[in-house]
Amino acid sequence: MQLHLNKRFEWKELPDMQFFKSEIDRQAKDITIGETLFFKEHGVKTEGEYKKKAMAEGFITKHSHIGWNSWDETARNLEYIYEELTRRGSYMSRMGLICDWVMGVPREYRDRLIPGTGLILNTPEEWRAVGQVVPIQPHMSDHMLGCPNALENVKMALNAGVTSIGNVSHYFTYEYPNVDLEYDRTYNSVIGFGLMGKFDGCVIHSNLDDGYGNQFHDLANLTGWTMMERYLVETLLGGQLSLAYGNLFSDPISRIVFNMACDATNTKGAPGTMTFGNTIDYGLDLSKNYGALASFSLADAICQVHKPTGHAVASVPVTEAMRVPTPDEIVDGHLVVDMMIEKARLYEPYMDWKRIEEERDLLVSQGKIFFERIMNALDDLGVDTEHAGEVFAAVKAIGARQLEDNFGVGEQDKAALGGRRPVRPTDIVKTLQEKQKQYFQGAGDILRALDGYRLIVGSTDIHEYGKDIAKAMCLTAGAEVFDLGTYVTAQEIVDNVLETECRAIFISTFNGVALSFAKEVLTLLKDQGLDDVTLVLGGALNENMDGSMLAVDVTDQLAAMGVNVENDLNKTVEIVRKIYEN
Amino acid sequence: MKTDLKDKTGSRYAVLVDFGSTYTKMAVADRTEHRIVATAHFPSTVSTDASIALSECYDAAKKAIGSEEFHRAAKIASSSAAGGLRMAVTGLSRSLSIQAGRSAAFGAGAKILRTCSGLLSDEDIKELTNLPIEILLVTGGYDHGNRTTLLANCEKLAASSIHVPIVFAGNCDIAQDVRRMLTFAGKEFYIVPNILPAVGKVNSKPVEEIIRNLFLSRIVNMKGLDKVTGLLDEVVMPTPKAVLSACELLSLGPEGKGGLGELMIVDVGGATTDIHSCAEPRAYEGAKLLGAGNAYTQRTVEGDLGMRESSDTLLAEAGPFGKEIKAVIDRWHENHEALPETDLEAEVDHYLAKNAVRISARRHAGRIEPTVGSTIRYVQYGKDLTGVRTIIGTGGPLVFSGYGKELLAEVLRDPDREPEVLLPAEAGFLLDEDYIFFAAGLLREIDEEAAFDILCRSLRV
Repeated sequence: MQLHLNKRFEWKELPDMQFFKSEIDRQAKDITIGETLFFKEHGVKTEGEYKKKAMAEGFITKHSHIGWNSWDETARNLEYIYEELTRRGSYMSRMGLICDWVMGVPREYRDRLIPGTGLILNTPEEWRAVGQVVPIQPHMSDHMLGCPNALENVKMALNAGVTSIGNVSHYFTYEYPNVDLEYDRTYNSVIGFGLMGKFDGCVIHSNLDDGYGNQFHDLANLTGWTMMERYLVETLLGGQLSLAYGNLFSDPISRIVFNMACDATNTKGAPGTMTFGNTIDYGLDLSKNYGALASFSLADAICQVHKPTGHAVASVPVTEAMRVPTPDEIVDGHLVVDMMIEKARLYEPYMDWKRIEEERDLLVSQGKIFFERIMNALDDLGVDTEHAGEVFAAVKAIGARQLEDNFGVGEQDKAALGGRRPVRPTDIVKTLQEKQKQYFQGAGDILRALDGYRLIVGSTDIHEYGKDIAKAMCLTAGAEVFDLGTYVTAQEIVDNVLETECRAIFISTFNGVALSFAKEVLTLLKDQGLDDVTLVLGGALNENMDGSMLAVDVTDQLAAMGVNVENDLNKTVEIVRKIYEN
Repeated sequence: MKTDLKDKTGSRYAVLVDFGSTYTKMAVADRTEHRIVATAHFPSTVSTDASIALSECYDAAKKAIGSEEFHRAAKIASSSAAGGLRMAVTGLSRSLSIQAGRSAAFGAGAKILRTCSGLLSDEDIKELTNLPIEILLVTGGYDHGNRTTLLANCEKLAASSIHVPIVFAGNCDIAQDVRRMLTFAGKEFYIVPNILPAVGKVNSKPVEEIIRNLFLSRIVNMKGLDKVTGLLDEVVMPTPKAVLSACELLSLGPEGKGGLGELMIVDVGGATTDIHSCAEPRAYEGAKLLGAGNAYTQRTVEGDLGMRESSDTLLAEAGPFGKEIKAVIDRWHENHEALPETDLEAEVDHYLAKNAVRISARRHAGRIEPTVGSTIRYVQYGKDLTGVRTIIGTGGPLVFSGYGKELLAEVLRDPDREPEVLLPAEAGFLLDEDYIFFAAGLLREIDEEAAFDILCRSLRV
């Protein structure tokens, strides 16, 4: 086994853990957890304390994400939502403030990033105000912990009375283009996580779906990964970790099973923050979105009724896939969820919990194997597994794909997505497997159809599922496939054509660069005299012209340049065969 | 009588010898005190009888530590005699198989006299036949990848009159065909696992091992060292490999002890300028890393950027000097040992040295280039050395010119003028006044701690 380490800095240059521990102790003395309106109303000092009371009383908390980008607008809308929910007999226990990515980097680097649509807290007054508008407890996760500005963020948040802060998972996957501060990120996050552990009732949040959770194909491996995050945050840094998930969990039962699998290793009794809504089922049809909202929130509520873990049930407005929801749409979602919580209690006596627990036990037992294999590998690599900073940096340098490919528990199968047959596929993989099945059926008998043929596959952006399906079909058909992964560049493709002698290049593209990308590839191919190579583009064949944010279709221009634009995965094998037979 | 080096690992002293083309150099290291107790150098006699200069070195060593300790001492040697280890590399794409092949050859301590890409032309074959290379490395194609170009190249090599060992480290699918072709043609060849077995994977160790093996078993003898091997415990490596090993040790430190961190070594010589770097391979500010990957320790050799033998090509690359200097360059060409005697010659030397450092550092370092993908703004070729904070100079022009630091400062980039160059913008400078790197690299074979301490003591600000 050969691991390629994308080492961003020399982790042995981090101070030792003794230093970190004393630094955490020193900095903790300067922090006083602020009192929010919510704490005042419920007579508690932290959200963790409140959650434990709620769990004991069987009360199910509810959550919404709030994403307006000015503080004034956020405050105004919150007042309206609170009043309207109260008037209609509903409630919102907590709100996730979605901070902008510029908050993730120190001030002196912020001009290197183009501000997005998230909240930017500019002044100490704005920070202090986050818990003082309405008695809904603020939760902050995006671009807080796990980013280069982690330390400043966590101190400001704790002083403002925010006691659930994330995101462990973001350390591994969120990037800040043109700002490479990995040493600072690790240093600040280690202290930040440690500071959280100094205050009872403060919970470190990790949305797994934002991190390696969306890259693993196997729920068993994801369960093992939760053990890694727990080891880092709880065992090494003394914090309490809440594992959150849900964005990518479409199957209601897998939401329940996974919640229980996460809870099985929750030896510190950390209360959960929330379970995210399932957004992969959301589309442009609002009626169907109501169905999706009802489906996931009912499952989450059933889970909390059976074994309260503190996870709030999230309400995702049915318009979320189309626009930034209005305050009324947020209220609307909560009223749907209220009904689901009410009815959830009726399911409890009839649920087959034994079967669910068997699934949980399978995930946990297989997850342990994955976790142990990673720990052994870290040891072999000379990583000090007692040093949180080293482990954070090392598992990031290895990356999710290599972790799963090398240490995953599924059986190896080169035609499977990612090269392994999952013990229990994630919902994304399940959906894709289903789609793959459909494509395979649509493609007819493809066995041996491409024996002896070679092709390159890749993607110009993060999307790799189209690429993976094309790859799986061609592998099944007997072709030799060279997978260049994501974010491929034109030069990379042409260099690989030279090394592979491929005549077919399949590229998936969704980032509005189809035309300029194709032009560059074709020019470089021509420069090398590779005139018999065909570029096949699939996905969104469009381009953002003249700096406009609106991408225009460029299919005709691409076709005129000789690019294959059939854009139909069913025809993948046929296209390759034609390229080679022409 | 020759003994196993392992038997000498407990000896107090180590006698470290470098058979160079001009001088046979010797250093005696005291492994208890962690210092060099004697150095000497004598004109090389490799072309007649290498043992003459070696005996002179040994006499000096005996004088310093006594016959008894000398007898017990480990005796290890490197060789850069007769032009060092000379290789040629063929491959398919510049950024993948060729880069992997060149890095492996440089890492094994070789000098690369020619690099060929793609289908070999008649001109390529002619050059490869005529050049004084000692090993030809053939790379290209992932396993199950390119066959056609590689087979055509091997056919041409089989039909050629090239008579040096050929190392094939390409697509394993055609290994059998290559074996057949080269066997029928009566070539000496070695087939090793593919240096580039799959996308994103580099396997350079087998290539480096076979180069070392060939160097020790065949090339060392060809270079006149066959007469001295009985007087040594081991000739372990080509001298540049020893220097690279010392460079790595200085950067990382011995086990359990920190080193100097990321660093570069600049060695300006008469024929070449060598750059060594030790730095973690990483992407610069989110750029996408392209190519066959980089090792922590890397070396490049610029055969056209030397102060004497290649002063004409260096001058051509550096640009016009501004005065008529043909006579100076001619003299440098005729007499490789010549030192400046006039103000103009000193000026020319200074100009050449500055440019040798500047250009070779830029060829060694990585660079970024813009790309059209909207998420990835830059692609990166080569290694990001912007984090290097120590630059060490070695070799006569840097150490003895009196302008060592000024010359080393040519490595630094101006971030405004050359933002694409991945060299440091600031760094501290050190000089290797005792020419100690080869000795430390050899000593590292048996004693890392002593080698590291000796290195640290010998470098001066």
